[in-house]
Amino acid sequence: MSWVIEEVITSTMGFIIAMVILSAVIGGGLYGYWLYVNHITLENELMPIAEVVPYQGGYYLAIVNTGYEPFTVRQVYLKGGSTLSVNTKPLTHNQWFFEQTNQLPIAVRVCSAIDPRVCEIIPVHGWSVVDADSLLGIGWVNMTVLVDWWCHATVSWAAIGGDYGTSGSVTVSAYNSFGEPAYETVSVRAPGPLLITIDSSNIYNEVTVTVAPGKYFCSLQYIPQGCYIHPTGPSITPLLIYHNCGVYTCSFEWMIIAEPNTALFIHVSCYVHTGVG
Amino acid sequence: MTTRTRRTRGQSSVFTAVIMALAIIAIIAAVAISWPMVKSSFDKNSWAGSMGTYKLDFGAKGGEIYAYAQNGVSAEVNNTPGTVGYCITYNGGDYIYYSCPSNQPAG
Repeated sequence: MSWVIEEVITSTMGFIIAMVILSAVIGGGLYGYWLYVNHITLENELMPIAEVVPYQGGYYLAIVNTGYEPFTVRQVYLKGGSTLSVNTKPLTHNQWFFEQTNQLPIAVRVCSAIDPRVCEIIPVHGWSVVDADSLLGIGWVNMTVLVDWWCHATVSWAAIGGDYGTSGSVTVSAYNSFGEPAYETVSVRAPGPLLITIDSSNIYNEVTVTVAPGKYFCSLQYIPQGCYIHPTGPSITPLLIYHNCGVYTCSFEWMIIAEPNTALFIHVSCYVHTGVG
Repeated sequence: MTTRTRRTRGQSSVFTAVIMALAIIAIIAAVAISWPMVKSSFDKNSWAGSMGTYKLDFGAKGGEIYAYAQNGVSAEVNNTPGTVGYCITYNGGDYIYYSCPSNQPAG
């Protein structure tokens, strides 16, 4: 028998058999490698993005295919440990899938529509928030109106530069406060700059209006100084737009513009000033 | 020993040539097969990089809030969730909620 084996191994037939075996091994190896490469390639080309925002007491989950390989969404993993089974139709490029859940979704499992054995578990991106008021330029203007004895002031405000309809007024009177000042505080939700008008009157002939936004202030006196600005720096310069003095009383109107997120201290003081009318 | 059982020089040369040919074919085939995988790996890396910086900017115009994504994509932010580029966003009243590929994982 040994000569038969030797014949097979060393003859041309043996050579052909060896080549066939070698080719089969190489071919098989290459085929296995091709299967592996195909799997990895399909996995790499899966480009899903999952995002979630809180919505209506639950969560709003959105999944988009940012790549070109279609995939289906199979499962949603929730924070409580449970799993939500979904079976979507294949999502192609830029197609979305939405789902509302009661629990926070933390991961989703997607599988290639080309080869369902190629799957990937991806995390769900969380959310951020932006203050809507700050985007719209909305802020609070907090005003304190302090009025000395014998004075009377009405502070009116209106939003400018928009059709938001924010307006109002507050009146503070200390005519009969028996030596004590009177004050009111008011907070206005302002959708932009506020035009503030201060109307004041007293039975004497002088009114000083001090407007202090934050740590700065501008003191206004119609008589005799006019407006002067505190050395620490002005941020608001009120304008005297009207005054009228009768025999016993004077009326003044001042105007300032306040930006949102400022605090104003408006002090209307009375001063007995004789000899000037 | 007969001449039938001895390998000739001609056979050895053919054997060597075939082995070399098979080896070259195997290498070329392996490289050719690998190419899509290599390319997809680069694709995935650049995708992950671009998604890592994908975010939204917000602005207001005429009392309405708009969201701006990349590549000039923008949309008005409504009070129900909507998509802007690869982000989702909605106006919840006091706050604008949004989630983008650059956001940290939830949970």
